[in-house]
Amino acid sequence: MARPRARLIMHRHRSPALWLLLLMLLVPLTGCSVRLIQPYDDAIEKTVSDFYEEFLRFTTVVGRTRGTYTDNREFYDKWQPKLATLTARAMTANPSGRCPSTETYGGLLPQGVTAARSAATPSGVRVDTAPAGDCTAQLLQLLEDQFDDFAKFHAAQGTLGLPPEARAPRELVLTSVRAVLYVELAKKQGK
Amino acid sequence: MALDADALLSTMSQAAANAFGQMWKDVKNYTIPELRKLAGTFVDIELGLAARPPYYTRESADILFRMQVRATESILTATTALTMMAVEKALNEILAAVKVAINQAVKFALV
Repeated sequence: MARPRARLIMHRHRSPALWLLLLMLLVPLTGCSVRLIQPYDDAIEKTVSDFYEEFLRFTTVVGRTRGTYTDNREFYDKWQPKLATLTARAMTANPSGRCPSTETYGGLLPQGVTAARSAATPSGVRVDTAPAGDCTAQLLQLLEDQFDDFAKFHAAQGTLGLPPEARAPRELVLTSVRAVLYVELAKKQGK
Repeated sequence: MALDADALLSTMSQAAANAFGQMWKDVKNYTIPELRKLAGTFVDIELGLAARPPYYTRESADILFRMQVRATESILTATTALTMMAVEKALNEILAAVKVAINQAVKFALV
């Protein structure tokens, strides 16, 4: 019978070297292969790919007519619960998971992500909470939040709607979509 | 002064290369094109606010800045995930390489 692959979830990461050393010690003791990130999930790839296509179509069509948020709420009502469900699914798959170094990204954001978020958030607006879950869950949470903010952006545009020349809002959502897909496809291909 | 997308990309790529160290060569094929697109969004927001009439409102531009932070997080989180996958693969290859020798030495399937 095949030996089950156990998950080794690291909760605290004082330093990468210590973390790797601990992993090297634990793996032989548990007699299993290492898994640092949750496996490929077909539901994530399919749902996020569908979202990518529908979002592109939505922004193209609505951009052409400068459609307003009020006239297009149906699209948000459809996709916000779908993306939230995917995040919940990934969190449930690995509830104690973490994505190492994503608070400072190896020193790239020395004040930490929370500080960067606060600086980019106008006063009186809720700041995103610290990221939770493993890398897959965090990527999905970021996509869900990004789409929520796209809806707020669209609403804040009022009668300007989505102008055809406005590239940034669409590109920022697609960046978060591609991040999810890139990782899922890399898992699928065993990279 | 107008924002220069190439200069922004160069600064962001250098910072990411420093942060990800040895792993950078494994992930830059994904990260650099994404950072290039992100740099383009900075320029677009500036253009949208400076246009006559502007095509972004002040409030919607504030939201876009918050989305930029989150898009950057998405890129860096994906980059982190890819490095973790590379570490996972390396560890499992190391384990596979020593598996036979260790199991023979201890006379049971430890690894």
